[in-house]
Amino acid sequence: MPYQEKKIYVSIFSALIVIGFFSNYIFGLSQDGRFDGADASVVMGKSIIALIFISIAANILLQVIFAIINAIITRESAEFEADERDKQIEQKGMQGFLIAFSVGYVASMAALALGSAPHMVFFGVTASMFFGSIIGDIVKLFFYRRGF
Amino acid sequence: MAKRRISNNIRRLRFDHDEMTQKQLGEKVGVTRQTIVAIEKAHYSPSLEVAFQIAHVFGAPLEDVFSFQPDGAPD
Repeated sequence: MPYQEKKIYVSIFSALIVIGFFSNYIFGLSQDGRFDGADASVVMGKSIIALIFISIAANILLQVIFAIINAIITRESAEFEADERDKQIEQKGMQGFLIAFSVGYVASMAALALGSAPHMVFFGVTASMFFGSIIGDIVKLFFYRRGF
Repeated sequence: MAKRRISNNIRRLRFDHDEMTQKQLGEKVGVTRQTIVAIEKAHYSPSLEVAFQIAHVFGAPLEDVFSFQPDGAPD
């Protein structure tokens, strides 16, 4: 399997782990009644800021671990440079991400319009960002598998 | 998928150049082996620059490496 495809699998794995932990964390806060008070938006804001930094750190860490393990097993060096086909596939992935994120964003706003709690709407927007990233990765995987 | 109208002779040209591998060609042109595979199978049409670079590696004019089949032309 080409290096770029393996990198995408690691990225999907990383996004699933982070969103899994984040959903569990938010559910715990919700069960504890942390979103019932006046500072619900503050709690959500802090959680999302923490999530952004944790997700970046987790992705970098997993990619480094993957590059090391891959180099040991396959003896192939990591490919940091992208050629023109990689860049075009990256753009296709970005389109997939933006479409999925837009759908999630509109759905979250619709939920807000129908009376959902604002902290749940924030959660919806954040979750759509992560699912959009997974969709973008799947689109990239599709084009890598097909050739373009 | 739309029918590809650009075909190429890269496989034959590699064979004629001492069985040059896809990896070697990729290194000379500055793309990955997977991109050479995709170009060879006509799954991906390269940029003009890469197309000219491939032709330059084989020392052949561009039209000897790539050919274009216009719409409505017989196969």
